Amino acid sequence: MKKIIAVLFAVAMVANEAYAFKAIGHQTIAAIAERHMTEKAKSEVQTILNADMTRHAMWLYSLRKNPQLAHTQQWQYATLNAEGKSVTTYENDAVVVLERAVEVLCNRKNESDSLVQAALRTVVQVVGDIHNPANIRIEGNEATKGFNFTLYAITKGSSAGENLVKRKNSWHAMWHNYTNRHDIFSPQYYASDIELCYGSKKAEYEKGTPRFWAENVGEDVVRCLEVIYPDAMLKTEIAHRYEAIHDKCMAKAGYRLAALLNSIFK
Amino acid sequence: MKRKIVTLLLVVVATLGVQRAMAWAAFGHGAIAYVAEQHLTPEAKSEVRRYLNHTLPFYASWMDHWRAIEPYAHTNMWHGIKSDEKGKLRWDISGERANGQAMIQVKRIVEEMKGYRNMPDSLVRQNVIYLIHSVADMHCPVHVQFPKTTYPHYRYKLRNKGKPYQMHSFWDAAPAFTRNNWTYERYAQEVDMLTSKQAKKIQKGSYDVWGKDILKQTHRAYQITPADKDIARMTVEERAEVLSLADEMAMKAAYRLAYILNNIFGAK
Repeated sequence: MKKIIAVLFAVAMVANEAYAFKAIGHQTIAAIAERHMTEKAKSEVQTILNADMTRHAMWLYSLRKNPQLAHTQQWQYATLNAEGKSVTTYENDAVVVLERAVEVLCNRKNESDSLVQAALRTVVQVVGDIHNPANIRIEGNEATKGFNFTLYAITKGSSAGENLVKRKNSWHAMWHNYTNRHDIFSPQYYASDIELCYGSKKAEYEKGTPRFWAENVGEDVVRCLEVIYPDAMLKTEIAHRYEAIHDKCMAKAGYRLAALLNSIFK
Repeated sequence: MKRKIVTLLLVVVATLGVQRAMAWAAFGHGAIAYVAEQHLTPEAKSEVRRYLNHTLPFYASWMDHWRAIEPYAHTNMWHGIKSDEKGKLRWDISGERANGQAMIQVKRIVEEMKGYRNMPDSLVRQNVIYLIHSVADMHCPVHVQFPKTTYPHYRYKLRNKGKPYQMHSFWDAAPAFTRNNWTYERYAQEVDMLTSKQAKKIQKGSYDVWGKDILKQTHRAYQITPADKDIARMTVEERAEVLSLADEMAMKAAYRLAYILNNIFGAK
């Protein structure tokens, strides 16, 4: 087991670090977490990464460009069984990757510095990944792999009269667009905004394990798919309303990342 | 077949025609809301955040997302102000657009909010969202509508690398012009340099005074970017002029929004 962990992360370590401005979602999750980490956890994380977490929130995405590391593209997806439970042992599943990375961090005194750093970067990103509804896949539910649908609006303007405006959209694009809407916030300010809305739920959200967290997001996915489904024609306002689920998932990711790191670096 | 193609083209043209202008665009609206938030009194900031459950910038573009959709279709005309044929602010809009002007709505909402403590939370929240957007919109130079009869020379397009470009689109995005990847915080750090004396001067006066000032400044936009001006080939001085006007109007919007919210929520 230890050998597999070492090989997976050792290969990952050869890639260059990337910093993407459009990474506002991941960076904000890291910023929320930093606000709730203990001083000890913050100090240890800072020492291992040699920078704050927001700079490493998109690290895995840079690895995919290397053909040898193409398998890391799968690390963002968590697969649940048909009952919505995370029971997979598939080595590239996000939850399994996260568990392996946590194992490395818990055993950090016996691991190389570079392996520990790679594991921490992976934790920072993958906790975020499993909280993006577009990254949750449910066995037997093909829609969770992605689909297209159409948004329409009957617009009323005094000068233009009444018009039907249609716009193509997709399951993945919908969730990513919610994040992109805030790419002119700084991660720290977006984090403070999300906390205004969801701060009171922190104690409730931070409970559980990565498997429970993926299942929890899966419940939201199932509820969304009752309304948004392949080839559906939906009113634009429905898409506007799901932005709250996106922000709630980001809050959960931030609080859970903090809780996880606090428990590792206690 | 020919008939079908003509019908299809008409539909496409009609659809293009109803594309909504997004005054100040997302960056400008967010930046104005952010700067305004920095100038709220602690009481006002706390009250506004309590009603919104979010920061001001979060709702800065909300009205653009919902303006044409029921039940908010009636707000579609709340994004600008109108000039009369002599170039003076119109307060007497009648008929279908009776409530059409952003400034008329802002004035109405401010009056209504005097009794906000006795209003349902949802209505207070909705009114704050309207104020955040409409106060900003009425300061956007191209959101002053001049009548065709006396201002036909204000109906033109610019150019972008030689191709026709909407004057409206250019000025909507002007606060972000040449400022790639700026966040709201950076905008505030680099642009919000007003002294308290300057701020008071901006906030002073009635809506009528603000309206006259906005109308006056708006003409500058047409002088800085005349017809067929190529925005991709502006000199450094011309770019600076664009940013100077955009920032001046954005700061006026931000400080006046803060003033309005402080008066509503800051009073003890």
